[in-house]
Amino acid sequence: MPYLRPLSPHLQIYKPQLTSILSIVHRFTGIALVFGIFALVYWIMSIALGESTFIKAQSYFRSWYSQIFLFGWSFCFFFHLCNGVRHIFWDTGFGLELPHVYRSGWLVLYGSISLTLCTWGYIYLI
Amino acid sequence: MTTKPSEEKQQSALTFIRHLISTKGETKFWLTQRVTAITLIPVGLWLITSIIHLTQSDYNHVKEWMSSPFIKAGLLLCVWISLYHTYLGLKVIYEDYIVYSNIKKIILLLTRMSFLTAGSLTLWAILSLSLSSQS
Repeated sequence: MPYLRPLSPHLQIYKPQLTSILSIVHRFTGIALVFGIFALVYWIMSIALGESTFIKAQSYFRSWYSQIFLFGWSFCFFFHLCNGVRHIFWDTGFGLELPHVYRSGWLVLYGSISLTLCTWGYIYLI
Repeated sequence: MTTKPSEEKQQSALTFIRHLISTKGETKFWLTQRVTAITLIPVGLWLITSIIHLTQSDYNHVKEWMSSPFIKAGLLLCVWISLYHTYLGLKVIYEDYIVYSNIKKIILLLTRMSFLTAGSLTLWAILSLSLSSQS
């Protein structure tokens, strides 16, 4: 290839503000969710491999360090979902004015945090 | 046929710009990313509620849940579409931050291979579950 394509500006170039932070977090949650999918594939495989493998997998997932990962993945899932919906609204031309971008940004942040807390509250308390 | 040096310079600048703004297949890429994203909204919500309900289940209960062909199809669809959506997303990140095209190609190939493996393993798991439940 004769020409090198230009790179995206690196992360430290952006002034920390809600809009840039949420955009960066969207990418990071996406990357984190790759490993979440692999964990899901492992879980599905453990069901196919029989009861003893499944029990081993379940005990892995129930250990405290896995629970931290699962908590993280659940937040990544809800954040990526909510912010993804925000992106789709932008693609159709809605909410592009700066005050709306900030309002939807806070909504995504608080929404994903409360969805994560509700999920774990449901799992542990009910 | 001779061209003036200035014309030649213009020509190469034009090729350079054309290369930068190359839109080959970009519309299709954009659309595929959005279609997979919109599909993943209901599929993902279904998956996470199912997982929440299955956290306290034993093997027989999970296997019984998996015995429905709709659940099996849903799980396979969920994993495959997620992998494809992730692949598209990672491709953009690689394009944004990896300088050398050879390294980019190798990493993209590794990503594709690991995702194909994960997808095939899921297919194998689902198929072996449906075959064992019939016998």
